[in-house]
Amino acid sequence: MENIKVDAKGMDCPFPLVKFKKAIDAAEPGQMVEIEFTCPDTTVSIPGFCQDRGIEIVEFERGDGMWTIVARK
Amino acid sequence: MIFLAGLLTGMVFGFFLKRSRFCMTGLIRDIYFLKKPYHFLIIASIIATEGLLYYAMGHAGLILIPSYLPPFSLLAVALGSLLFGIGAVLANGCLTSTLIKCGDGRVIGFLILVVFMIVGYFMSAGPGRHLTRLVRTVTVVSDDLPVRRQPVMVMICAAAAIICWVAMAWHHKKHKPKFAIPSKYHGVRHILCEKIWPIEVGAVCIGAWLGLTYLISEQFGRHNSFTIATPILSWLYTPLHPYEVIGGCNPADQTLGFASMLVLGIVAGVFVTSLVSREFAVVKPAKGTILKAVIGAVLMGIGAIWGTGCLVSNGLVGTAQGSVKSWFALLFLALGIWLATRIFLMRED
Repeated sequence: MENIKVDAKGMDCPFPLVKFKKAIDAAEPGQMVEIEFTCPDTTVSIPGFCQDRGIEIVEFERGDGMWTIVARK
Repeated sequence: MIFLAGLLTGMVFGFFLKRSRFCMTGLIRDIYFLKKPYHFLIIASIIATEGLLYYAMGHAGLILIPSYLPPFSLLAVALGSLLFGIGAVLANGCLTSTLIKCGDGRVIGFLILVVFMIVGYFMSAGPGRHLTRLVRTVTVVSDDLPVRRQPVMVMICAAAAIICWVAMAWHHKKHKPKFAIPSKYHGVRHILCEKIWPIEVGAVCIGAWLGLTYLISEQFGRHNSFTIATPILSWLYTPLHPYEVIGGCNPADQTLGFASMLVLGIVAGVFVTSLVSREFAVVKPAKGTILKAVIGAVLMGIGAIWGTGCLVSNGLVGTAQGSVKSWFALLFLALGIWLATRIFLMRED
């Protein structure tokens, strides 16, 4: 299964979370969702959402002014 | 000295806001959007912590508890706060979040700020002030609760604060975040420059700092804590010398001074915090977000003037002072946020 990629760069909270949530809902069980974002608040909201929904975060990287989270449904 | 004190006080506040990722709009929005009633407790803890300090210092003679709060228009405050709440959702954050965005390099923050200043000036000091005056004369009621000046308020706030702190500690223990931003530093440097503080710690720090700001302000003859809308507009009022100014949160803040530097300090504090945590980045807004943000800024400009305050000055500061107007405003701010969340976010979701 290919990773679902979500580009949320330049978007402010809560839109990265809204897009991530949509992608997770559309993903098959076990499929990865990768989101890139620039909103600092999302570094808290997506991990919090994943924790509440029991979604595993397999990668949390920090780039130049942006972050990437990869989660497995 | 007054300018430096204001700047430093604002910078500390900006530091707390940034380290805890605090967003008042987000807290209220997510009570409904993500079904997180726990956020009521976070907001209550800020008000109670600040209220405890405010009343304790007031009854100890360190600060002045005003004997009189001006009457307010139920219609203007309800309508203004509702519009402000809707605007805050469209702009993805209130005025304080806008200052945070300016500080951490998000270009959209400057756009929202400029539009807010133009509309806020138009509605308070420009031709729109006639409409503002008209709205503010309808259904005017008193804002005077006698209990507000009684020593019993110290006990009420102390009890509320202790209950909130204990409940938050219990909740945090049960729901510890499992993931954290990848870190580079250790020890104190990690805690001050990198770590995202738990929202519970942020709430207590913010509440305490809002309380201590009364004491700092008092040294310069100002009897208030943080206000945001009028101090932002003071940067226009002072050079433009309008004929008259109607509305806004605190008439004493219309002239460039301590409060003007508080808001500048928030931007500066966030800027420094972002730099040391390597988070500062000039970020251009995504396509499709600009128009909504501009509409949000317009609504916040009208709402802050009619509602005589914003999410911080009414929602966190006035409420702690026992102002009926501020509690009434907070109700309509929340309704505006939830209404906009329902219309604009849940539909998209």
